[in-house]
Amino acid sequence: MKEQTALAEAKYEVDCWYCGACEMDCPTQAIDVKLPYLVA
Amino acid sequence: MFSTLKSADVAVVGGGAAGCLAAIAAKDSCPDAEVVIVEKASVRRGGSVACGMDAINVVVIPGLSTVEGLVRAQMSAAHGILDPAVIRAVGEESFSILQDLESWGVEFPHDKKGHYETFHQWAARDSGSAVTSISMAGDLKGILDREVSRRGVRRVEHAPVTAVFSEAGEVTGLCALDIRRGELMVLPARTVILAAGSGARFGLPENGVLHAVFDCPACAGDSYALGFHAGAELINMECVKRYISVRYFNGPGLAPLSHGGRLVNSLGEAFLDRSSGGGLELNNFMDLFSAMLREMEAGRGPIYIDTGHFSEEMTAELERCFFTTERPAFKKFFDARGWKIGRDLIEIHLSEPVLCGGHGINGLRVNARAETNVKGLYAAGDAAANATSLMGAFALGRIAGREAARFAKKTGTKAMDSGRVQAEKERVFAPLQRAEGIPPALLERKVRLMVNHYVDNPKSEGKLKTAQSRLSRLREDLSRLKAEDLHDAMKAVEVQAIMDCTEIVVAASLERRESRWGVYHRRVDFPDRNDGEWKKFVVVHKGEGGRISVSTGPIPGG
Repeated sequence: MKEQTALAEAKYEVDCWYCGACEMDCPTQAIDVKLPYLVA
Repeated sequence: MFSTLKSADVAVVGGGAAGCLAAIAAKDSCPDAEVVIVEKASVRRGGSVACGMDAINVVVIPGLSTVEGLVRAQMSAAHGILDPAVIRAVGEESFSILQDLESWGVEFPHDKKGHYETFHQWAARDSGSAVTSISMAGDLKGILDREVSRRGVRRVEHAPVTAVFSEAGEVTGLCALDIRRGELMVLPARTVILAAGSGARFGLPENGVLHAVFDCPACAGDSYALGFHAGAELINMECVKRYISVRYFNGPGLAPLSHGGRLVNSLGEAFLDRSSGGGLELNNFMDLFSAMLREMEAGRGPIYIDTGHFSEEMTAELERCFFTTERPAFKKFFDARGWKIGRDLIEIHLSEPVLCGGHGINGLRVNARAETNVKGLYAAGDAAANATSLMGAFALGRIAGREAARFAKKTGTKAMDSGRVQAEKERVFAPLQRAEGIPPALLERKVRLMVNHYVDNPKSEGKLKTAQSRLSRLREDLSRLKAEDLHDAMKAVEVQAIMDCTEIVVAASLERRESRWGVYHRRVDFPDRNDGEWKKFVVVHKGEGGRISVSTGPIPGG
């Protein structure tokens, strides 16, 4: 959780492969996976 | 900071496809056995099929394909350097695994005549109907997770395994870091199954951010490093694999071909299509990679998949495959690019270098019973050299679980060396205790950049020896790592595994003084394939003083 924004963030962006499982599993639909600017 | 867990008959390292099948088979084979999955993340989503898979690429279906056909095709694709008995074992298990998966709720669509919806692997066109692929749907990992639970398998999650111990050539147990509580857990075990995946974090991705490989990036070569330090042999580690993926994303680049897509160069030429006059005979993926490279080197790149001729039905089917299983975030990527299947060219490219026993051919050396050379130590899935993709994970997992459970019944628990456990604890926690030092992520980046520049193909003795000397210097930095938290402490363990793998790959690459597998092991100083001298395994194991020992050995039955 990032204090300034009160949002969960991946600690290491490079360790995420954007499978989207977290977005699918979130019980409150609070997660929105955003592709990195360098990729998209 | 230290706890000893109830001992296990079968400890499975990794809760992916192979690990789940191993645990299920161990319990089915010996219901009273104490079976534990130790998983770095969670069994529910851990591993490379986190969000499911649209197909199984290797299955032998009676009436459609044969085990011997599969063996011939895979041996051909591996240029002769695999253990045919392992492929045969996978083939023999494959249809009953398909039936088990179906009975658990995994969907295998049928055509109008009631037959399984199958297709032939594009890469296996040389072997006729030898390799059958089958469409698949459903929440694969959710189903496996449920089957694991139903059988009473114990699970230890959020716990990367840091070491597997053996004494006098026999496995004794393992250590894992409890990432939530900050404890080193000690698990005495009669048998251990290494199913912790591939070396997905090997080379750096070309865009610096997102992996272009199909394997879960939590897999940092842990299986290979854990096995190596436990005394297991590894083979084909010089085979540095690349995938063909949609450029800048880890979407399967060749999947559209199975759905009717055409591979074209920037001039719009279908350069692999014999009817177009391209005239290329493709024997396997390696030839395909070489053909793509030739197009690019000749100035006819980039390479695309053309789906412009797709009907609405074909477009919908490929969208279903791309956007609903395996990589649901793929749709966001297409949307961000403004791409539409059936209208726009899809650029594909070679991924960064990766180590993988399922998609590639490197890994722990196992026999047809999934045994390594260390008694009580087994390997399955991308950890083991098998080249049979997801079915290899299912089948070797099942074989390993069954064999391990039976072996555990006959053997007692061996004492784990307390001195080595203490040393492991000190190794794992040392980066947390330093006031300052190098962040593990930074060292990892440095090592993986070196992989791209000095270890990846094309290889030469000069580059490989430079890598050796730089790695030796970087080893010293391990004692300067500073971890900010437990996640960082895990990354410190992972970077050691990545370094181990890199050193092993360099040693094996120097040993094989020929070129083989197209772009996988391309020595510019030995450019030709030399079956006379090199149709054999390069075998690596931990030798005297902990040093990497390299030798060669015959192909069984070869």
